[in-house]
Amino acid sequence: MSGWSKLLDSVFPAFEETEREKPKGMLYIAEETPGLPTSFAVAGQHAIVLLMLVVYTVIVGREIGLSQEELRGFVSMGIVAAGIATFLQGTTTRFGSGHLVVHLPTPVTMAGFIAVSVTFGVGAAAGATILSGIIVMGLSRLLPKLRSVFPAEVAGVLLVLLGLSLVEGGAKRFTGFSGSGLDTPSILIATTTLVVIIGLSVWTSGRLKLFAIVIGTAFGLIVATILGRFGQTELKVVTEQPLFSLPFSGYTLPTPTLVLAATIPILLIEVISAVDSIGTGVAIDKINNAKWHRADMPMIARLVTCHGIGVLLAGLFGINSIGTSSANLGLAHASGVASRKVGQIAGLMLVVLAFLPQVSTFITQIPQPVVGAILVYTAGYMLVAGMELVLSRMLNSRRTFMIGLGITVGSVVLLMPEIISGAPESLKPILGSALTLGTVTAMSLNMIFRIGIAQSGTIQLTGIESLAKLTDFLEEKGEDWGARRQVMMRAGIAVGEALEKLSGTGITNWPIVLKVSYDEYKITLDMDYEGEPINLAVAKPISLDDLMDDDDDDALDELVSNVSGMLIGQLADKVESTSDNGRATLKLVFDH
Amino acid sequence: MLIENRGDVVILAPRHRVDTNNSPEVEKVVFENIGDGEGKMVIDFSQVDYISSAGLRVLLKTAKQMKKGGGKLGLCNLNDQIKEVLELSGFLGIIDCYDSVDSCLAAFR
Repeated sequence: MSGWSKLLDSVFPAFEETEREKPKGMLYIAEETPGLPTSFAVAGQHAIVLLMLVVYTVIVGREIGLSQEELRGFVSMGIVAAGIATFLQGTTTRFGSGHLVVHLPTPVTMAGFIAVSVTFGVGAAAGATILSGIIVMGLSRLLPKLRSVFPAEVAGVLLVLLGLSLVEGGAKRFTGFSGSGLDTPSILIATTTLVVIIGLSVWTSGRLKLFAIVIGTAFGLIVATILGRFGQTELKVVTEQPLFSLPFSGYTLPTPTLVLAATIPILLIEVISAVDSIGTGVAIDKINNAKWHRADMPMIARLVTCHGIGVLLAGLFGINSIGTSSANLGLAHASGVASRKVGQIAGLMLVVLAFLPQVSTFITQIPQPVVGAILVYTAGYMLVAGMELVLSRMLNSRRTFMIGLGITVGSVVLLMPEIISGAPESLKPILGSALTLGTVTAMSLNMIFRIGIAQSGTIQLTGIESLAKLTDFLEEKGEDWGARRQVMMRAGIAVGEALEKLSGTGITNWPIVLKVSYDEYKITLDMDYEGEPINLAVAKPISLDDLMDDDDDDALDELVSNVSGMLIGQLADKVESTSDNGRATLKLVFDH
Repeated sequence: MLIENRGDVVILAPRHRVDTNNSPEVEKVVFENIGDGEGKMVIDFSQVDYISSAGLRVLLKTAKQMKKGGGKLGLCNLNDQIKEVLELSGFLGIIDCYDSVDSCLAAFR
């Protein structure tokens, strides 16, 4: 292998497929490929959802004072960047996660780009974005080493805040609220859209479920047309556009410049956005795997690498940065299709669509209540996904405060945006981001609360009466570490059975010293005692049904012994029973 | 352990744990109330955190006696740990389990 090859491998390791079990409710997971018609239809659905959320780029373009002509080019370049990053994410290369992860202009980076462009010029925003993209790509390989900084609870806080961040935009569009009251036609349009989407998602399966959002949108458009909220005016805007144009026509790419005061806030936002994409990586991994029990850090590192490439592209194109889409994540979960091929097709579709300005213009003319209904629907999904992650771990007061304060601090900014009105302008993009504040709070508290928590613990068990003490010890350790409740439960059952077996067979002298060690990947229990190694083999299989009709109590005792050994073997992922010089060790390892 | 009679059904509610330390005691109480196994018994696990294979022995003996006597046995309010143990050991296939005492009593009628 050449030197360059080795260097490339060390910085960007090659793709490796993960073993997965398809969850119930999923039709196609990452490595599976639906038929072409289904792939195109679902990819089209993702492309449409993304195009609806291109509204964030439209908002940015208007805020930085672009003309209509420049705005068209600005939006088209955003779609190209999103399409390339989405395609790359779906590849099985060292620069893609191999998952259906859609990139789009995000509200997280929107505010920062506007603030920097208005203060320092678009060139400074572009330069900062380019630098941030390179740094994020460099950070991607460090992330596996930082797994203690980003445990499930932090990812869960992030997802909850992601969901909450969609609520305001969704609710305003849903209700047509404009400061002077609600708009009944908006509510009717949005409710129709949402009811159709939910109805199809809950009560149908197969293709109808796949196209729930598109069908819901169509129904919303019909109601909007009847109510006079969609029609000639909107279509005129579309037909005025040329049929074909190069994406960057109309928008002059800015010359990137490096301004320190501009770079710092954008860099911080991009790092936080990279943290956001870890949550996306965890979520898409969970969606694809019924046996998910920990973050696939090499995959997440590749996902972040691709995220960095997307940011770099956005900087080179002089547009607001792109990130991973929570709305499309919710769509993948809801539709049951998470095939990487669909992601690649969606990416290519977006690039092609960027050359067809009438298409993208039409999408952005979709009535806001319809967009609002989709945002409300996906907000719900993100909220629940975040709560599931948070509650998958054992909680104690430290973790409760870490999660609670993280969500609270993020929510303060959402509920009271005026609270930062006195902050320096250059800090407002950061302080005004619920995601940034909430996640940084949770991460900081996580690091602080880890102080004094050892990653292992030891208890001396003096007799079989120590079983209750053992359970309390494991419970306390599990809470300290934020271990997965299910795993600690299995460990508790297995070690309890081991103690009873040791006590019952009389091969040990008390005390037994139990050491428990934890990292994010496994929990290890080592039982060290004076005596013989434990034998977990089943002496003679006994049928429960036969035993029900048997009067022999000895058979009953043998069954219990068999069950004990069987439970230990089934619950632990690895069992080792060894001895040395009169001392024996039983080692139980549980994948975490 | 709490003991309650509702009509012709005996409801037993062990507390905290059923393991090698207290399973003889639990067995004693169960068999004091089981008679010849002709009646109906519900074991309510709502107050139980943990069961071990020693506890399974008691359940199996109880189930055998009820089967012999033509009676009915139901377990209810199992937490995740107890369900996991019963499932892995195959006991869910030989003893009926219910979400609550009321659903168990309804099944007995």
